[in-house]
Amino acid sequence: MTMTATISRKADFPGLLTPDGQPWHYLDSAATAQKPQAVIDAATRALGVDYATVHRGVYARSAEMTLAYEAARRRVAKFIGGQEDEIVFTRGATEAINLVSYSWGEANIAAGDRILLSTLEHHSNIVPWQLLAERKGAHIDVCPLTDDGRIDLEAAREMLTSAHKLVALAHVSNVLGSVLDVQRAAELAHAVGAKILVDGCQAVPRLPVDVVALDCDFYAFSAHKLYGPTGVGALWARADILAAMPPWQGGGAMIDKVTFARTTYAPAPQRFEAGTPAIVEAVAFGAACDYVAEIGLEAIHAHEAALVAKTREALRSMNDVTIFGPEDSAGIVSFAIDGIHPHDLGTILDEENVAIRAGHHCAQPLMDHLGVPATARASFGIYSDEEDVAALVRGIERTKRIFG
Amino acid sequence: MRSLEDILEEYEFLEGDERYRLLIELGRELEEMPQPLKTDATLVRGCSAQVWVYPTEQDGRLHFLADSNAAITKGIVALVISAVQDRPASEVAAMDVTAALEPFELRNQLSSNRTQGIPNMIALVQEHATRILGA
Repeated sequence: MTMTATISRKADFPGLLTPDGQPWHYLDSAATAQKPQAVIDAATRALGVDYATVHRGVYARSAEMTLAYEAARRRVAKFIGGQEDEIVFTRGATEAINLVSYSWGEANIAAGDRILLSTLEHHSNIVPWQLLAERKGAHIDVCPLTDDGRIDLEAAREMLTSAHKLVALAHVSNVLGSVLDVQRAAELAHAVGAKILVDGCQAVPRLPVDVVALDCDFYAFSAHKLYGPTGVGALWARADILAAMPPWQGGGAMIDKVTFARTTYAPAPQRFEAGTPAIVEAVAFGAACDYVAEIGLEAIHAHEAALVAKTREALRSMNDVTIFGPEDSAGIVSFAIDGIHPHDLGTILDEENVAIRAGHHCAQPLMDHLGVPATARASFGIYSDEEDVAALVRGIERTKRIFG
Repeated sequence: MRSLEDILEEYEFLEGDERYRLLIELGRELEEMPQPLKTDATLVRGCSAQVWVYPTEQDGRLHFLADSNAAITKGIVALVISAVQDRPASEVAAMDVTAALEPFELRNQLSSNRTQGIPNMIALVQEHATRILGA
């Protein structure tokens, strides 16, 4: 049975046209998603008629904005199956991971401890751990991949020891689209007494996520890949872990009482939100969660799976194309064409109003593993459709003619 | 090496795909850059397409060896080289290379907001010329 893409949401996204009104075939949603009108409207209201600070105004507008900001926290928490006091708003997933590496890491990682990552991690789930390991004299181990590009959990099981204090893995690879069995990974981590952090950036826009069912300890994601604004993201951490974590950045809003003799800190999550937060972005982040939840992640996953299948089928029919990643990649297809650098492909596709990503995708260790300096990547979203796939195929054919 | 004017004359005569073919051909005709010279030191900052430049000097004239692992990018590298090759440092330092390439209508490839090597390569070539002058 051929699956068909079923969601038709293009009209909700004003960004999907070129300046002269032509369809823009945007296949770079894994880098950042376009924004639906509902999110743009929420941001406009928050920045305009509703605007005020949070958590300190004595006036009604500020009290209302505080309610809206905290409501956004509840919506984000609910979106991934967590509790509101387990959500810390951050600048993005990168800051969420850095928060864990500095706060939890400072308190829980010592010399000789080990951290397990994988070959396919994004730089933002590598570098913060390297910095922590350098500070503490800890070691990093790298879990290999299976032949079809999944994190090899059997290898992870063999590598894990009681010296491992943390396992940090991507839920969905930003290059290969491969989906991690988080439950199994969590089971393996917990079996040796390690915590598990999951980088959920590419998962939250395309898979139903329930952090309790997944049994992870930390889950990090950004709003902008989830049809929300840039500049905001979230760290979910299990309540007992978050409560025990020391402050990271100091400032206003994160304190209980300040004196020069001794300062006490606010409870989590406020303890980790120093300074005036990204109010507008957080409110719009909440609106994005609502927008996506209303469409439903099962439907979105089926929609993207159909587009992935169609794209892989078209690429497979070209005999000089290598497709990376497993058959059931979630919303992402990475590939290379013999003799054509992805950058050149991207340049010609751009002329055809097709936007793809060409590069190392901030995953240089994975590029080394694949033996290529870069790949071309097409990634899908709620608004993607078969026209976009057809335009991609036309553009690839044109490029091959030019290079022929 | 063909002059930029000669190349432009042919380029303007062509359209679409043929222009890309000409760029790819220019890249292929570029003086070979020996592999050992392609190091981190000669790599131009950029994201997906790599560009290497190695400046040399003979009798007060600048001579560049350059390469890219992307064919169209290498063609544009060849255009830059055509504009500056074997000219005195004073001339290269004063030259508006981006303006010289404007008639090729490669705005997307040349705009500095792109994370690619060409604008950085132009800057590097001119910084080198300026440094030679100051020395």
